[in-house]
Amino acid sequence: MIEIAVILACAAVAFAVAQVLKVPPVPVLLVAGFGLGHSGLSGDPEILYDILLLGVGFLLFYVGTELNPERVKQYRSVALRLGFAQFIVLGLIGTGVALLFAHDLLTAAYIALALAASSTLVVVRILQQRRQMFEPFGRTVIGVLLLQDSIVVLLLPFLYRLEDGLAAALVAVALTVGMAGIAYVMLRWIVPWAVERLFADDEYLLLVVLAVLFLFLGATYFLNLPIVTGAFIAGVALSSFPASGFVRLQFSPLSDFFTSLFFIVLGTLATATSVDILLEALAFSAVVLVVTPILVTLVGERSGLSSRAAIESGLLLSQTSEISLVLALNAFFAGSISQDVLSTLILVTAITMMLAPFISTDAVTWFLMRKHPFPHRPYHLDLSVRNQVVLLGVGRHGMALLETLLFAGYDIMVVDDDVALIDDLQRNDVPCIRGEASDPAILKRVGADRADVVISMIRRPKDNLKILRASGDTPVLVRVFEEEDEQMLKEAGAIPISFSRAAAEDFLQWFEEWRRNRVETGEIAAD
Amino acid sequence: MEDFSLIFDLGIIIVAAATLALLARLIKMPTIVAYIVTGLVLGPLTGVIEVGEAIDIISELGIALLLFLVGLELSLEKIKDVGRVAVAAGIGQVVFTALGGFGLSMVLGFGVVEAIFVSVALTFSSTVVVVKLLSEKAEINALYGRIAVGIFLVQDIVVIAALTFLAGLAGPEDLGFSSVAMGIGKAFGGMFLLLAIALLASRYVLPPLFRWLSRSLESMFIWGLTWCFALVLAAEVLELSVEIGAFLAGISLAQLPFSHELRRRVHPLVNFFIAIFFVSLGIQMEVSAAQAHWVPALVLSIFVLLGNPFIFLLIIARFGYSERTCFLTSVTVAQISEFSFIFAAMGLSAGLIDESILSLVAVVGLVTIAISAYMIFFNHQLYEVVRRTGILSVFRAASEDPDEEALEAMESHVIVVGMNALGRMLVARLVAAGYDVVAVDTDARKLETVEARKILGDAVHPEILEKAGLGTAALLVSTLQIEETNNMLAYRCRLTGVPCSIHAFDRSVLEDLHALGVSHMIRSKEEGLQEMIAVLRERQIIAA
Repeated sequence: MIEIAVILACAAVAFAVAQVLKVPPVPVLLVAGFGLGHSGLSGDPEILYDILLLGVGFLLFYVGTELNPERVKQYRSVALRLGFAQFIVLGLIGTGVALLFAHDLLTAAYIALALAASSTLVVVRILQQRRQMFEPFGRTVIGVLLLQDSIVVLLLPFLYRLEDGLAAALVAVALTVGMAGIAYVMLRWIVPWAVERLFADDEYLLLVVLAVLFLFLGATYFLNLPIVTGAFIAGVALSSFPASGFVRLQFSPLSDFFTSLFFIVLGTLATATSVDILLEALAFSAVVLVVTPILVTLVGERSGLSSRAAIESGLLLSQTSEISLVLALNAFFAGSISQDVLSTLILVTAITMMLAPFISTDAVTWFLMRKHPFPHRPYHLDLSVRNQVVLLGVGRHGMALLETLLFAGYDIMVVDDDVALIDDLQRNDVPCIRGEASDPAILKRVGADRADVVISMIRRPKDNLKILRASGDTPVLVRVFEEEDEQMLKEAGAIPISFSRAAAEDFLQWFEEWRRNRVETGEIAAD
Repeated sequence: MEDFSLIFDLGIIIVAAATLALLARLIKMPTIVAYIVTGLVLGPLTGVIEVGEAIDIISELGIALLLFLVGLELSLEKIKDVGRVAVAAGIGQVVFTALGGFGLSMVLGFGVVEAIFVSVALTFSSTVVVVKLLSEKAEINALYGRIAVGIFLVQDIVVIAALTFLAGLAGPEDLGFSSVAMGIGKAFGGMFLLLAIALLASRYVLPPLFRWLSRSLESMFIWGLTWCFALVLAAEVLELSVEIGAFLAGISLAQLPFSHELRRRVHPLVNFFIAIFFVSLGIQMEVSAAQAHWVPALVLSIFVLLGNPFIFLLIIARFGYSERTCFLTSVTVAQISEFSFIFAAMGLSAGLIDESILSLVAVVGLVTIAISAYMIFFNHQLYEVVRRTGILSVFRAASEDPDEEALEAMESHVIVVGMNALGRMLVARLVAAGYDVVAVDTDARKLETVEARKILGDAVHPEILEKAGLGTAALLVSTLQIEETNNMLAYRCRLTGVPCSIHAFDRSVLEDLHALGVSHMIRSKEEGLQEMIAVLRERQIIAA
């Protein structure tokens, strides 16, 4: 009891510090754990071990329930390309650097795998905070994360059994795929059937969910696979709607509790500290921080992302993952890596995660945009044509507006960063370019300052200020949702169009009609 | 190095409990009984699992979290109301049951020391069992639920005094009046000290701290748990029970505006830990030597099942509560507690009683917990049955409760989830048009300026929706731009048969919402673009 209380208190402090520093809690938890480990107050190692085991299981299970491939279907190909590229290139460079530090090949492979994955916990949090989950680049990044998690979960059994020979390792992968098959059957047919029958009360739901988790854990144990694989696959089995919603609702407090304890205890394991380890950790962190943005930008642009989206994705992905830690822990318990290497990887994760919110900012993105030696910008445009209407980021929703304008015979120019949309428009001979709508260089090229009107559907207020500045005296119509943005843009000289007000009017109109209908049909009494 | 014994044991417990709980649902058996039966199967019957240290810790966490949750669910005001009756009934019942049990044991042929042990073991009722059942029935805040909780907490203090007394009995010191008085004094002194800490903290420290923390609900949750553990440890230092510490921790946070968010997060944790607790209770039951004592076991069980409620009815009826409330409260006390086992086990290890008495207590515990779980589970039906016999008039209870507060009825109201610009506008307009509106958001600051009934919390959770009166609402509107929450809301509305209008903030969410059968979608982008066209025409930027 006292052990858990101490660890929990550490976690509480870590959460508060994370809130003050505005960084993700995970790295702070690791650091707090590191401190606890060195203070000698961490207590009974057996209890710590049990916490680690439960924490790993619950964490991976939770990550598994997040794996809903539906969410990213449109961006599958970009995500696949980015994910694999990041994995292979970072993996190779990681292996190389690890070998330079004189590690053996198996250790180097683990290190490489750990460096190649990015953190779902950190990235999803940042995306949610900035409300970017639904932007094309947000979805792409989520796709990349899902892919990486899957690869690690598949490669882990392979490495885990490699000591027993290649055949055993391949069998392990086959068994994992088999279990994933069972999970898929559950996902498609069993869970949807069971969900309406069993999930009536919360307590029983939780019990069933935990039973599924433990059955998968048991299966991996008997098949001699790492249990984290079982936990992850169990999560995937329950990742479809509405099961996933219920599961996360009931399960997230449990996973919050156990994973907080887990990261603290993991931190206590980083006992080995020396200048060598620190240097090594800094070197690996540098690899992640430098290679990832460059790589993702290059591959992303080639796969159709705009320069800005590609750079933002790269910056967002440049940290190692909680799954890297799980991997390292597994390897440590299996005796494949030393405590020094474990400490190094914990340190790398703490450093890169801590930096994540500071790196993936607008300021850094634009700095890199300016340094970009060959940004994706449309140089082929005929600048002599004057566009009467410039449409920025209208998206697929904007078709009605687009049609109205085209029908009325206006010269228009569309700027959007959605590849698929631009392809469609080009096929229909609508003048358009793919690019970042708030990039002053692009705005200059499309002649925003010479147009009759600029219409911006861009969501971020700061981007709209940039557009406003680049448009000179041209009236700029801007989409806004919140009142304070409306006020701010109005003062800056834009013509804000409140989408929330428009939506509210529409709703109220529907509501009145709906009520009248219901009164007429006698479903409700008239006032 | 790798040792999976805990995961293994937990896995077996959970899978077995889930299986048995499924069967239990078919025959309407309370889950607690299913859990204890699971334990009996895994322990005494098959010996698959032995309770190790880790399982013990998890069980203890379960007790602590359950009482923490109970504390969170009660408001200080409501507890104050039932203070007098709780003290009178708590102490009265202990005295009467102890005397009755002692007499009965002597008649059944036990020695004096044995009779003392049996009678004291019978006086404890199980806070955990009752609280669990009442929360399951969502009646912990009902008048009888509050009285019951009050009584159990008073009993807990008596239990502590008894355990102190026993420690003296087993120890070398003499069993004088002074040591007993010391024990009881210490228990009450500790209690008041802890109470003072909790009250002061809830007054001066916790509100600003948790207001700051509420920006991240996750960190608020971890801090809440930490506070719970801190008071549990403090209680241990003061030689009080885990229950009391956890309960005070809960109640000191219950007054904060964010407590229901905390509650909702603690709930699943409790469900997990408490399941393990009840199963491990079953595993540890020493029923092997019970055959020899089946007659006394039966007699004593009947005494607990009928005698305890009888004594309660006598006492509580004196406080002017209605017959129904008296009856429902009294039914809660018809079982003995897990403390009874601990108490008997201490006696065994002190060499004062033999193993057969421990088995006897275990069997009485098993029988009374199982049967009283049914009694509490079906307490309203039971009341109707007993009332018709006319027995209850003997107790001459009042016909109505004093100042029973009428629940504010909400009907045909509109629930608006998400206080962004759209949500605020809708609330303002609907209120102006004279509709009854409930506004829901997770952010206290966003709710501040809203002029309607407000509920702070995550609308995905059934508790929050229940609080918002979803069942009787005319319509639910979500203005959120969170796909998952919107889908869940639509799903819940479909289950409850309440129409809903959901913000379809992006084309990609239309399909799912349509499949979920929502009544209306708020298509803000389409509407906004129409507005843009209108403005373009108005300003004659494009031809009308």
